[in-house]
Amino acid sequence: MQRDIDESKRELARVKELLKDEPRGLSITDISKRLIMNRNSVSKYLNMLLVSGHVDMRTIGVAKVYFLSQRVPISAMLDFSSDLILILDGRVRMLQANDNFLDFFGLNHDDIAGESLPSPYLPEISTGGVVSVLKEVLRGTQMTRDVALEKKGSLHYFSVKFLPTVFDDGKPGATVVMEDVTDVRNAEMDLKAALRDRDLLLNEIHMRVRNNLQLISSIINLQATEISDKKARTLVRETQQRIESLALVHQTLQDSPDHAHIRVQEYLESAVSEISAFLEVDGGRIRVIVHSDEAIMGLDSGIAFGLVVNELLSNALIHAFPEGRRGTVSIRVQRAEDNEISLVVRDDGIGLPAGFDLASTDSLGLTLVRALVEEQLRGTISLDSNGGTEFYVNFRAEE
Amino acid sequence: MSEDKRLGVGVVEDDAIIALDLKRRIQKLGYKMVMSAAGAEDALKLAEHEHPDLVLMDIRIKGEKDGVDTALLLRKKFEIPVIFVTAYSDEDMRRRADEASPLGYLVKPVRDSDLKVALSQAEERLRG
Repeated sequence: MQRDIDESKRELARVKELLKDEPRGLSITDISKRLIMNRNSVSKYLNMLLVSGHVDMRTIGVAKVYFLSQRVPISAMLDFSSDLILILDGRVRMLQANDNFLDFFGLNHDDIAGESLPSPYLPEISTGGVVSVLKEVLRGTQMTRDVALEKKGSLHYFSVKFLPTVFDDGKPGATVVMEDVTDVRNAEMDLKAALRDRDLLLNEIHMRVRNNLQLISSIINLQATEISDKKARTLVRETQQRIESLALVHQTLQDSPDHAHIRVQEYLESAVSEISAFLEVDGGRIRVIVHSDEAIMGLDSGIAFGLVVNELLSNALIHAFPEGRRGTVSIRVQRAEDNEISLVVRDDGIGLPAGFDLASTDSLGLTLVRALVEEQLRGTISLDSNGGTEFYVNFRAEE
Repeated sequence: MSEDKRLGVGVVEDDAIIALDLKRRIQKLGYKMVMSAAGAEDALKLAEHEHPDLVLMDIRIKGEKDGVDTALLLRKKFEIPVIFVTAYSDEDMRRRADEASPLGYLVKPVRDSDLKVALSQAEERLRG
């Protein structure tokens, strides 16, 4: 048996020796002739050398040509890597480390050669966590961990790969590859900080806008106490309600996760609740139903949309159900491609007066609605007044 | 509690017009206005003498102490509760404000109906 093994080793060495002097490579026939060895044996030894990586094979035309592998010592390759690399044997003894690894930890090869982990030379990676990870790796599991290490007062962040490794002699080991991701991590943290600042700034802006809207509302309130004429007081209250609908858009924006978009369903629910409370609507007499597709819109569209909803809903609540009449108002929003929004406000009330024309109405509320839809939202508005009133508004909302 | 049985209310708001509007609306709702201050220092001095039953406190007021700090001091020194009035809906601020165990929150711009509900609920709790 041993004689066979020695024989194989000798023959393998002969094949390698021959290929060493033939940089253009040799076919099986060439090798067989030159070494005076039968083709089957040559084929067998070449396969062994191919598997072990000592020989490469290329197909040239129909011929298979074998070359000696151009092998570079692994230690030289390790030093080309920008990563920190440590190789350990099956007993977690340190066999090899590249220059980056040694530089980072302030060590030289002699310090670590043959040292086992945990090691006093490497307290940073001698933690229980690392040692237990290495045990898993030696059982064949590849693992990745994020690690922060302090060096000279500054933190370095590493993405560490623990790779199961098999040595030439078939024994298991582990390779630890530490990629320095400090720059990426710092850039991420800078970005997060910038986003936090942006959120704070947006929150502050919405807060100030709402405070100013409160100021305007207060001025109107104070002025309203001096007005005795009922019609004039109603007009003032309508103005105040419009201001509150603006404030609600800002509140919805402020409450949204990015402080920049309103979620339509949430906005509508709040608007219905606020407007109904403002107009002191009896919920048992007039029911308001809201349904919206998943839709969001930015500040500009949101403000105009909010004012349109305010006018159409208020109009229905104030005028559609006179003298204690009962009924329902429904607000439906559908969203199509490209954020095309379709808003329908419908009531089953008394309907609009005969001959009502949206284009020539002198109602301020509906004039505002037309201006907002057609001029600001660049959309269309139409109405149907058979058996109640139904307003159709279509526009493309900015996202 | 005030002897005439109407709740004595204070307002701490650094914006004079908003403060004036709130005071009038509070009076219109039948409550007694007993103090008005623009900052923490004045609020604490006035509260010591006027002892309101509750204070409507703006969270953002000028000066070293904000509305939450002032509310904590009012409760600690004089056991006076607050209703916070705010345009600020930041979660951290809300958590901080909760430490003062407020009787409620009013979001700016404050509607009459919300003011009425907040004051009557506070009154119920104080008299309860």
